[in-house]
Amino acid sequence: MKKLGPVIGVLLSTVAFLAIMVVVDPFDRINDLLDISFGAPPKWTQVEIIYCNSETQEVSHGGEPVPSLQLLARHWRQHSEARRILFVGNSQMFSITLAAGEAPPTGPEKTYVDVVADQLWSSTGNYLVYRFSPGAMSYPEALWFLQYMFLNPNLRPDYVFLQMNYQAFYNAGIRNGMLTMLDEPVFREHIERLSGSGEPYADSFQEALKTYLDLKGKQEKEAGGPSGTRSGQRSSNVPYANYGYRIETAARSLLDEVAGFKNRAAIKGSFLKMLYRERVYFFRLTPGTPRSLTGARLLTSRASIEAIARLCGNQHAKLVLFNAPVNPKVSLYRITADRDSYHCFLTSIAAQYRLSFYDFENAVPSEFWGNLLNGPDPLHLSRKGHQILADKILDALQRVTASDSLIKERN
Amino acid sequence: MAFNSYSYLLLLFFVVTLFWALPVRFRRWHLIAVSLAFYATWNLLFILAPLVVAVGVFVCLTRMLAESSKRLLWSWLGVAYVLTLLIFFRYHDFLAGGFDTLFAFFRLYPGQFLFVTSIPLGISFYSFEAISCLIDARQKRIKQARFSDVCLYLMFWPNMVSGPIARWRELVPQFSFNRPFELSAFISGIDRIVLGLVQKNLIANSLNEYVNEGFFAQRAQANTTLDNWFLALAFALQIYFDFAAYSNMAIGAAKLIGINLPENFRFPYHAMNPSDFWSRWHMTLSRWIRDYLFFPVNIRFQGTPLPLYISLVAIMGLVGLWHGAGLGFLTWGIMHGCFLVAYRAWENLRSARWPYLESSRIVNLVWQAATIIAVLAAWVPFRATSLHQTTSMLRSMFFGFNIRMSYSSNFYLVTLLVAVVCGAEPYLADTMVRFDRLAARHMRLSIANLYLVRPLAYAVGLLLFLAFDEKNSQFIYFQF
Repeated sequence: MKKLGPVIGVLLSTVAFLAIMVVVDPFDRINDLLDISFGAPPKWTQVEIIYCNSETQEVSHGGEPVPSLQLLARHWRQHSEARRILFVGNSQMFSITLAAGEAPPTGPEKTYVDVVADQLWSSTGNYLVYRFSPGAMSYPEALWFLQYMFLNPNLRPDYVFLQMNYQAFYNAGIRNGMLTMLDEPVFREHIERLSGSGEPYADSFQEALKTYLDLKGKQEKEAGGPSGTRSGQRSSNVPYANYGYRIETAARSLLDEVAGFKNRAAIKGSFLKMLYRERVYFFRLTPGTPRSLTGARLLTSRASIEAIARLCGNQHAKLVLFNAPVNPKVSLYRITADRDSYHCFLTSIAAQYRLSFYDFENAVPSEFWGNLLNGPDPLHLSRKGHQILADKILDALQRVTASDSLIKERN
Repeated sequence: MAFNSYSYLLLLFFVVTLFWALPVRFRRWHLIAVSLAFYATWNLLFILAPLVVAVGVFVCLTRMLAESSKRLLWSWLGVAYVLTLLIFFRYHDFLAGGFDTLFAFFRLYPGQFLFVTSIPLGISFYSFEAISCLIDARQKRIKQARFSDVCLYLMFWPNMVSGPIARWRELVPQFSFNRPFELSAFISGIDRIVLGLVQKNLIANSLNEYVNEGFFAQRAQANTTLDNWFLALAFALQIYFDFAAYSNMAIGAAKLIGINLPENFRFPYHAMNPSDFWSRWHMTLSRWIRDYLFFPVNIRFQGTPLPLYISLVAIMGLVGLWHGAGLGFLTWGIMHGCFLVAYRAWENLRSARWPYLESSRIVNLVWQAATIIAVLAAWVPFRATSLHQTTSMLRSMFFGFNIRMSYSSNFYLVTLLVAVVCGAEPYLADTMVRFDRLAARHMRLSIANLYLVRPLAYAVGLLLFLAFDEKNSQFIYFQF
């Protein structure tokens, strides 16, 4: 008994400290401290409440697009006579960083795509706009999403506005949230075909299929059904099957009842933000730090964009490429050759596939950009910045749809 | 049930509590039951494999102990029996392919039907333990063997699935379970478990996504020199922290019930030369290879260099194949064999011609740098998807000069951060030991350590483990 006391003491102190940390989230406190020490702008400048409408936006930002798309199919079916415009891009489409002098938000704020959607609908009543904008979107994801849209007659867009962003060329892979789209058998078959195409993006698709089958297999195990491996495949030694997996699932659902257990994701977020802040504050490595584009991800992104161009061409949809605005205070290119080769790629792909291309890189002046941590935000526009870009996009739309008499009524 | 799962941690609490609550005579059966139940959580049928091995080994051991004159015969029979089972289960995919090729002319594919089976987890590990005890018995190092001893030795849950590969004489004497409960051992056990949880969930898993992407078949062709070096480094760190995490949790779990398992890692990336690397990396496997393969070969050739060098490369090739039937593993093993031969050749030359260079800091530094470069390069075939990818990546690493970055900055930064952690490990461990010694000398500090410092460290570790928890994450060495 004598020896049991210290053991119980250690265990109880650990549980107590852990409980306090789960509630307090120490990493979040450290973040606040760092922000104050390094003079970051107030938190409200990163607008948190953004206008949300499932008829014009994929509201999960790639987290779970299928329910959003089911709603969209219903909405577009109800307006079958209207022309459909799809915007595909990264977080620039759903984020606002307020610039100096802009008032704190008082309600949900609209981004440029929302402004375009509102203006088109109110002036013509014949253009439906939809936005797909997962944060840090990769071009294989854009290709994946568009493949899905074109396979469903109720989701086929007439115009696709694809955002080109130098930073997005660094991204690759398909996020797990988008894997549920593979539940659609026709789409899965299509992706399986593409994953064997030998194209640079095929690796991303293969990995996504593998993850999907793995997750599916586990779900079936949990439900007591057959294994996820298809007939003809040899059984693997992957140790997730059977009792252990079920016991773990039961343990997790039990722990889910414990207060604070679900905070884990938030704590992970705070920890990662802490690392990010340290990277920015101590090493001055920001998302706007100049760099060159090269290697695997560049290859994958280029091949994905070309595949999108071919897909839209085959589906008789008009693809419009637009180069996203960048904060003039930031140069994303390490050397001039990087900028030249990036612009050369954009113009050459537009020429090769006869696409409309608009370069908005310098369209928004520097006073309409806010700050991210202690430096200029390279990507996210201010309230006024979104308005400026919306006007530019509307002009572009007018030119793109010049043959369409309805759009002219806007003016 | 993986060591970093919630269900395992909850069950471990109950298993340890019950262990200490039970009278000594029941503890052995409690542990056998727990070990079987733990193994069965993957697949109920899996428990047949170690049981079949245990029965065979027990029969051979009893015959060897009963008939001294037939020790050699029974030991070879036992080894052959264990190896047959290992080859059947471990390499059945490879064998099935071979059978199919052989009968393809007749449009028959017997492999599809003959070898449709899962690989029982950890079979490579407990088979090596089985062979080790058979050889030890032949060398008269084992005096008696009970069936329950054999079962618990082969199926002791902490080290059954991925080692450390223990020896009979280290483990079985502890199965009397008459050691009293020791607080320091218990605390040390928790230290190791929490450390393992952080190493696995926070460090190894964080590198997983980057490594997977970098080694994609199509993309790897476009990697730059810098990308490939970072990928080799990232994988080296990932596999180290993943495996060290498992070993720490295994050693920690055993410590909680008063059992000491052998250490498996001693800061391997701080090795001074290739030979030193193998005395720090997967130590229980390397000493197994040394004692049961290399020493006998060395004695046979009486230190003659050329046959010894050839056998060294061949033995390391076998170590590679122990991980699985793949050319990548074989290449990894052969590369390490060549590094060891190069170092031995240098040592022979140096001692003959330049004995004064033994204490040269520059020479030692060059060997240390060469070792880390060689070890990193050897991880490429181990992880690559094909030999073609291996050659392409290695060519780029050694003959390319493209130092641009293809991936997100996070990949390079996270890899560097983990490398720094890896580099600081021995110093952190040393600081902890010094602090414990200091605490042991001062009553107040000792109490603060026990009820404040350690719980706080555990809480931070557990918080990170919880935050970075993934339901489906598995240990890399589970597949070997």
